[in-house]
Amino acid sequence: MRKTLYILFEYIRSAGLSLLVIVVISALAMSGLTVSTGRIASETEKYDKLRNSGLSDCFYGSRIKPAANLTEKIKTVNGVVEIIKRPDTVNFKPNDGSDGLFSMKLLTKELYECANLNFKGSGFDYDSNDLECIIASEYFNKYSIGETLSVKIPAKKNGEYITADFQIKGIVKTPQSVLSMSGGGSSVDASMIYEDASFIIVKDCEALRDLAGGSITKSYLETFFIRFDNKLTEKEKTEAIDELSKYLTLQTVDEVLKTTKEQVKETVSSFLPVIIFCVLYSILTLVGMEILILYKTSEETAVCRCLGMSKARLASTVCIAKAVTIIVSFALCCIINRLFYSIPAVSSGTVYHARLLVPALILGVFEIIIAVVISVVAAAKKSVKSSYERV
Amino acid sequence: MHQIEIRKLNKTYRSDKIENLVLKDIDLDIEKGEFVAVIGKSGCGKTTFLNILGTLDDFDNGEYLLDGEPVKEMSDKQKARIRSGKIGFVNQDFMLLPNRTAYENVTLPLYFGKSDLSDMKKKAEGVLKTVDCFELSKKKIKHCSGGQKQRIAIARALIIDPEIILADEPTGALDSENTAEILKYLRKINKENGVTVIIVTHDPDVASACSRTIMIEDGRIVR
Repeated sequence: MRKTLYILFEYIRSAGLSLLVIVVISALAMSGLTVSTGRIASETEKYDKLRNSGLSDCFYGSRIKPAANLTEKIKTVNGVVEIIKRPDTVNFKPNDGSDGLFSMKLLTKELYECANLNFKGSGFDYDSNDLECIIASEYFNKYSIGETLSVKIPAKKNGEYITADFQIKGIVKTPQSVLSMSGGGSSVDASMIYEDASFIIVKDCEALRDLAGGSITKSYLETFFIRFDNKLTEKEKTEAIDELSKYLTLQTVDEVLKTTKEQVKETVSSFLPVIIFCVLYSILTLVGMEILILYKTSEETAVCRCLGMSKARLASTVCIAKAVTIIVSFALCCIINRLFYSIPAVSSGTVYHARLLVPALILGVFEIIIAVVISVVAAAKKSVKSSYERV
Repeated sequence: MHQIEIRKLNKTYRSDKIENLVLKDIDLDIEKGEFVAVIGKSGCGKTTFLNILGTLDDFDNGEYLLDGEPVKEMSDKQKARIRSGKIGFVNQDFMLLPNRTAYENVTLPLYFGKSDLSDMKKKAEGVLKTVDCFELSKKKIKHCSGGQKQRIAIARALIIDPEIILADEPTGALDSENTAEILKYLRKINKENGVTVIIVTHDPDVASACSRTIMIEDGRIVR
């Protein structure tokens, strides 16, 4: 053990600057690979989710200016039949371990039709542990505490329905007539006011969370999918779009798909140099540096051999040194990635997830393999021999 | 039993399609405590011969017995153990770690063997004193002169209490004054410690200082 540790130390000491360069370039390459593949994955995922969302008849809206009463404004637009909202994932931190997704449905005609209840309007929101549902106040007095309501909700795809059971936990009177329903304790945030609507708090409703979480993509900006009632005339539709355009950038999903596809291509091409660099680095630089290090440490290698180090021990020690290098590189990579993530443009989408460090890990393993091959083949045989013969 | 016994030993270097037979049918016996010079022209196979003696290089066929043990049958690990416990190496280029002190270089072999590290300091002081280098203990090798380096290299070889010292052109990079000094130390070690010393050299003066001379010519021992 002491032999290995000694040589390890001596090797790292002797390799000096070359080793440092390897560590830094490794970290940069790993980070580059992580960020680039992460961005590509993010864009691709967004595209795939959009394509599979079954929302092709929807409009995709991105909030263009802060509007505290945006929901209210949208609600009042005639003919808006469905809005699914995704919050800013950075600011929204649910405390129940879910992934921070929520949905909102306002004046949903489909819900109205499919629900057992005669919801004229309904809305789901997520606040702390609760999902909230808005119904029109005219239905408010029909329900009583303890009553279980069964609601069929359209699933994210292919028109299937999910049945969700809500229990009315209590009725909370607000100026807007709030009805509170829950399977457990809940509270109503008084600041969440929905004009002319009752307010239902629903807790632990997996079906709604699935619906909310599964159908749309994350984005740094708040986004909405908006579906118009089929019965709307073109004029009414145009008016609704004009009204919503004050608050949202509206695009058809087809347009978004096209844009996203372009973005995927653009991302791939913009990150291609980084990926090529990483690959070239692994093949050329790493091999070159390894050989340089072997050359630089050949004197020590020869000394070690003369003083009684077996080829296998020497090679394994060099490999351990490489592994240490890679681990340090990987740690640096994590730090660099963390710095990248602090940039909003990079942190958007799934690149935020640590799992995207996998490319870095793969590169790291690749480097170790290269190091092992070079160390075993060169250090244990040719270099050792030639270095000894040289002296 | 001879300490070193070699019979019909052959060594060939192969590169691409060229085969170079560097050692041919070597027969040699060396007794414990001998002071031997191996001489010959450049490229005659002296260093290869020394490498084989030091178990650093393999040979193709023949027999090499070290203290009666057949080296050919030893594993790389066993050979490494022999190098770390039985053989001390001294080279023309010193083979010292330039950024380490004399003390660190001298104690290096102890890390490679099974030695007890508790009396490392005492051992290092002893061998450094043997070659009159004690005052250089804390000096880095890169700041030492050629003669000093070679003396430190000898001290390093001595620290494992070797049975054999293999010296490859130990005076090749030194002036006459230092050459005489190095030979003096090697002779002293040979006499006082009973260590077998085998010196590869092309310098006739060095060879004449040894008690026995072996001449290699075209891979064969001619004398």
